[in-house]
Amino acid sequence: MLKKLKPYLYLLPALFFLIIFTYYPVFRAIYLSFFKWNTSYPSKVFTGFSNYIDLFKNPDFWKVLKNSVIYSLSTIVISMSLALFLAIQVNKVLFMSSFYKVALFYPTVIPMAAAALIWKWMYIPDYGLLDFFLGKLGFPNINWLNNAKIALWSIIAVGIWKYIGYYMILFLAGLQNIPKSLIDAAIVEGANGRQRFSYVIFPMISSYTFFIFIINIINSLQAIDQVYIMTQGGPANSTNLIVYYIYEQAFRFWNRGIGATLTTILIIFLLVLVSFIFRSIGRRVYYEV
Amino acid sequence: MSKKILLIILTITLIVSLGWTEGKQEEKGVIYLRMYYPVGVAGALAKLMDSMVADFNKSQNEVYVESIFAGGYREAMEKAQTAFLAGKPPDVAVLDAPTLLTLLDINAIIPLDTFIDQEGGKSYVDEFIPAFMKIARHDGKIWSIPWQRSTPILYYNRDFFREVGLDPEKPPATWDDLRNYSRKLTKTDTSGQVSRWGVEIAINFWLFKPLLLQAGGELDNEAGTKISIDTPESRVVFNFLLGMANEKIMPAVKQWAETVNDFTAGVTGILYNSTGALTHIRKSTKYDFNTAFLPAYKRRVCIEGGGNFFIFKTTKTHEAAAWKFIKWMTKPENTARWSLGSGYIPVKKAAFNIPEYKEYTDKWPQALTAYKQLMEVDTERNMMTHRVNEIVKLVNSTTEEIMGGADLDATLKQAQAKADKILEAYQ
Repeated sequence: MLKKLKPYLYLLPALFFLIIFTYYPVFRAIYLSFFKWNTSYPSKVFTGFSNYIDLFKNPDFWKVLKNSVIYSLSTIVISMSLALFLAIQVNKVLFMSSFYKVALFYPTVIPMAAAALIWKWMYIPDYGLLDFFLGKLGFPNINWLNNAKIALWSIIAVGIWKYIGYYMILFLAGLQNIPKSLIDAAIVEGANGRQRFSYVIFPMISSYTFFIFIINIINSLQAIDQVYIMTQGGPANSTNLIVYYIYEQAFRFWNRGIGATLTTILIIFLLVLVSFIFRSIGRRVYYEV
Repeated sequence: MSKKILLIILTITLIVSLGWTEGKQEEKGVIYLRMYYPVGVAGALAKLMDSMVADFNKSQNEVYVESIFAGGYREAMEKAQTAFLAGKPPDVAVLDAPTLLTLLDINAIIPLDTFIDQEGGKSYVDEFIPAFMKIARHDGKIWSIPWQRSTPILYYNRDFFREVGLDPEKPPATWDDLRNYSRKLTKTDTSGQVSRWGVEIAINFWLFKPLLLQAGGELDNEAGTKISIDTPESRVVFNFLLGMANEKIMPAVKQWAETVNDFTAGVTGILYNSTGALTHIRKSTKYDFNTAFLPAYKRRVCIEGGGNFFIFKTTKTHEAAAWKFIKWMTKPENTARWSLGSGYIPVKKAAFNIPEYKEYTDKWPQALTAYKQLMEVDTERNMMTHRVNEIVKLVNSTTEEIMGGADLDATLKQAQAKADKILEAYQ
């Protein structure tokens, strides 16, 4: 009897924390999403799906969703391809290769909050670092964070810059794990550079690519620090991303019900996304034995 | 085997019990109070607050106040609300005065009339600058005591005025003056790039409301249950601002802190900002500058702003102790001391006769501008509504949209609909 129970007992501490910090909040959020609960209704009132309907009718919600999709897609595509490109280059470099690795990895060790502050200063219009050099080169000044058409891309640039070194190091580990004999064999068979990449290198690092893809999705959907510090979601909600929007609704506006509804929507979206990714792409990943 | 189980259970109990350990316990006979306070710029002001609270603690031995720095106004309100919901509100807090209606909605604070009556009622209230008491009243009761108060004022760079041939003693008095002066002050290089703006007005409801009042409009109603933004008067304001932005004498969108830095760095000739920025500007600019009243249009009017003391619902003894603390902090000499360190306006009239403060205003007459404006110009209430944080965000982002080039009519119409939706429970 005890023998059968034993493994479960070992799982207990971890389960305890999972329940308190993950499962309970998730179910609590789902439960609260059916209540009107804000400063106009200080004690919560059950209203069924009205929070969901209110949100779907709210243009701000769709704007935030659109921003989040743009943010995620562009950070994923740009940072992964750039990181892979850089990893291949660094892998070829013999002279001062650790210098390049350290230089590219450096942003990863800076806390996002500090990095966001630095970038906020660089983005200052007219006399900030970026505009200063643009001016010297004869380009017009750009109002990086106050122009609703540009601000989101300024935020995206920070997100890419912050994580690219980390992804590059992971790709580099993948590249260096490819047995040299495989590449040599491909060369003997007469494969050119592009063929070597698409038929040997890329498939061999697919488990790394998949892992980077997953953490990239997580990082991009969790983006809040740089929004909080650099723009507070502005101008005119053009940089408001889903997690910041949840924070804003739940804590700044005290719309607990709406905050819970947004959380529920995000959870469902993530569940669908992750199960889709594991079913479709996850199966094609090659794990070396 | 059972040892292992015991160990696991012990570990769990230990971890759980850690959550229940209390902080500081009340010592015998001393009432221990927790105060949340925000300051815009951390550092110097937080130190000043801590030393003032320490002086209060030394001045008597019945009440001990712990001052807890809580970030900016928004963060302080978030923390106070969360602590209240968790059943452990601060005993006393300095919060943005317009959060009154939200604090009443969640039933978190007590009225102060009983305490005020003990101090002499009307005569005690009359010690404060009257314009600051408006926002403390609701439903015939007084709910807060003014602490760090301010008004928007105009800062202008006298060096630049001289440079372009304007009289440095004649700041712009009307909107027309403002536009004309800004045209003269703007510097554009050969490629059409603006290297110095005429005027900068940050996107902020607190600068928008006075403009709207000057144009003859209204923003929030007395009860705080409605705001009017889709009005002819708001179109007058936006057209005025857009006109200056299109002429490239004012940047269309700038944030609060950026405009202050621009003024100290000489990137703008004129600045709309809080009197609370005075000390910072005085210490960080090399230019000769002065302060002035806000330019007028149809009306000569401004608004007030800033933080008040609120007492949270706790116990009778704690509430009385909190009042004792507030009474001490707002003594003329103490409010003068806070003003000297910050640039805020002393909340009591008598503070202006304190020798140290007189010495300061003799040396820096700019510091008196806000006070004079309060006394000589119509001063209306800061924007105060229910769910005020959402309304603030709405007004700010509507302004950002319009100044960013969105269609005026459609944006205002949509903003009005959003505002009505936010406040629908109060109609």
